[in-house]
Amino acid sequence: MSEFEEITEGRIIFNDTLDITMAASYFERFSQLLNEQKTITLNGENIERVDGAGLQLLAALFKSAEFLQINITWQGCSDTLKRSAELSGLTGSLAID
Amino acid sequence: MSIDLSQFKQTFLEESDEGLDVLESGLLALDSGTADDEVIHAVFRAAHSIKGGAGTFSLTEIAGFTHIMETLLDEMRDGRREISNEAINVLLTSVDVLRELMDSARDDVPPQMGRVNEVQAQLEGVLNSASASGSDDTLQIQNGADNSTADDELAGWLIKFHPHEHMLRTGNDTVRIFKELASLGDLENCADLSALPEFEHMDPELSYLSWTIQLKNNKQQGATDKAAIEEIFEWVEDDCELSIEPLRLSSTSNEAASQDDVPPAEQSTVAVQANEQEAVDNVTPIATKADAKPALKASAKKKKAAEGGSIRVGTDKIDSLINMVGELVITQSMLSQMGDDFSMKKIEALREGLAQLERNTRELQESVMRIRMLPISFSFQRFPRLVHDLSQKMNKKIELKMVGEQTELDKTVMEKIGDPLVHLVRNSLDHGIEDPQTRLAAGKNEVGTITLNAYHQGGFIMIEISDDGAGLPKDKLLQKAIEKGLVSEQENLPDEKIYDLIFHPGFSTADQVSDISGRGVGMDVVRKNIKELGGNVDVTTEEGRGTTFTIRLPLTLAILDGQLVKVGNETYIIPLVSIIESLEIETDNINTIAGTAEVYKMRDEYIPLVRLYDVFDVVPGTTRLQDCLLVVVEGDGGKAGILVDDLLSQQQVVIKSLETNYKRIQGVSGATILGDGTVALILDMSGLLTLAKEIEPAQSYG
Repeated sequence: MSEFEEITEGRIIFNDTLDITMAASYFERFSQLLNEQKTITLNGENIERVDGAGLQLLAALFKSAEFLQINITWQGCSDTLKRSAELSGLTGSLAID
Repeated sequence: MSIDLSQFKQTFLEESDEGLDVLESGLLALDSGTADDEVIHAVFRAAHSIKGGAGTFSLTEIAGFTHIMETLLDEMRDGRREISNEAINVLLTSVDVLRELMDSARDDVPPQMGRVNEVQAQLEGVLNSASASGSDDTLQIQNGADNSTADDELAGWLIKFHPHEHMLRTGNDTVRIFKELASLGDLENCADLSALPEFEHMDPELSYLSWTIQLKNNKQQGATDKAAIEEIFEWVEDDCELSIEPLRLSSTSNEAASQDDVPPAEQSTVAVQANEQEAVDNVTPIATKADAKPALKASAKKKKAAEGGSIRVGTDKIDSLINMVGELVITQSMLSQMGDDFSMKKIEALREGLAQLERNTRELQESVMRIRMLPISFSFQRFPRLVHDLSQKMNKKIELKMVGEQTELDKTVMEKIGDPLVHLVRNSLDHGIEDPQTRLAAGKNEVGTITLNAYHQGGFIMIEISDDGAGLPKDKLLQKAIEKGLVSEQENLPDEKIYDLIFHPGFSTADQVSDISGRGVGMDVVRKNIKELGGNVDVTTEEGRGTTFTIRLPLTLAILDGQLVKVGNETYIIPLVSIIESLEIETDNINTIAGTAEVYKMRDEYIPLVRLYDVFDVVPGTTRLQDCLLVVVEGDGGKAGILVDDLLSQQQVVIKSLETNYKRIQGVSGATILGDGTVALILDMSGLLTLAKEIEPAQSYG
């Protein structure tokens, strides 16, 4: 089984953890999506633990997507993710409302 | 489960020694004006670490004393206090006190609190004195523009946080840090993503972001203590660039002035918002300062503890040692296998194996010796402080230059050369460098220079102590020598012999005896100590231009290159460094002075002969001089010819202390065990020649 709970084309549903231990796996998946897709959907409803490495990876994804004119949208976002992004000053960069 | 912290106390004390070195060198750099702004941060961090560690080990005197130093340093780094000479001097004295407190902690004896309290009072005196900072805020407070105190002005803290790339890999998490910060006040965080590389080039485990954080005081929690913020960053302080600056209200702000009835905390918030741009503008210099941090940290880390019973060894040296041992084991295994099934056919292979074993052993020996080698900077690092203190005391302007600080020598040699070096530098300071007026009058720069230079030459380390001072007065030296009856008026001494007189016991040309030098009880001891290390010291000088003392020392005291000689059934070792030449004796060249002392005419000079069998009372192989060989040696400033039965091989010998294993014997510096298992004495030329003078020859030459 994949390390991600569910991956469909152009869409990622995050597991409960988005931290440095998962960063390499997500990095590969994000790279693939950036190369193949024109739109990406993220679902972070399940995220219960996120750290600096996880947030940085998301920030890098959004930055690259903007450069490549790829549209990213959030389908859902957990409170943990929102609060962590806010504390880290990344709410705007991650387009989290 | 409780942890026995005492096992870490020694490590703390060693690290604190390094911290004190950082403190001292930083303070000296601040004093001389050569330091950039970041030096004060490094100095503060050193004090902070010592305080923290001392608290952990319940060393309350150290923790309490360092806390006051830290407070003063904190005011200096925040710009609330000017870095004055007075403050630096008190802080330098405080470093001395801390060293004494550390020594007490090391020896587990109660500290002498008299001096501690005295210096603590001086520190508090400086702290309580009016601040002379040049910043606008402080000036306004001083001018009494309003009645508010510095704390009232503080609206919070502006934190610049730039993790090093590897920080996330150390297990530290920025989200956790921000959560903890948010628990102290109102957090406004702005992330800088500009260093993020293209996605495909990024390593997801490295850190690329940096943050500018405003942590504002709020009503519920009140003012945030800076120490609380520092504590949050404590685990990452070596893995990031960090600056924490006060967010201040502008006391000229109209808004703040018009809101006298608003509670202080709200005033702060309003004023901070009004001056947000100003606060952001203030970030720029902070960021610039932060850029210099890695270099500072590197220089601080460069200094390692040298004193004490332990030694820090680079992993490269350990790796080399392990490699050598590996090679040795392979060779041993090869020889062992050969021995199990030996035949004469394998004799060539055996020879090769033994040659390999010899190579391995020598390389292993060299690797082990390298472990004891430390850069001479450990010895040099005391001199900036010495020069600083003494030049102030003597009202002289002196610049100290140090060259070749990374030159390595044996730890024991380094420990023993410390005092002679201090003596020579003090002499240069006191007698060499003139006062500024005299220098200007002589057309020199008013700032004198003392240069310490270390380098390797052959198997020796050379240390030069030069000054551009007045030089040695040749006529005055000669006059003093005549007065003391050391030389006669008729004697025509070459210049180098005249200058060499300064190493004579009780000889000083100083007009006035100072507490720094000039009693004439130093240079002879300096030479004696250096000779005991198997080295020598020479002086070259030019009147009006300066003086250079050159010390030559063996790289290690553990091994020496020796000439094995035979006298009767005994084998002695003469250090190769002492031997000038060896020759067959021509009896025509032998003369007797005053009917007893034998001398040998070697080219244009006569050298005294030493019959080794007489000195050590052994039965010689022969007493006929024409059957003996003469080894001409140099020791204690003079030459002598040592009569031996035969010259054997030259080899490196491992020195065993005779003093430790038996007792001190004049004329013998140690012993060694030869390849055949016999013990051979290593001759000490200076002691031997002195001993020989006391013994009349038992018989004349035949």
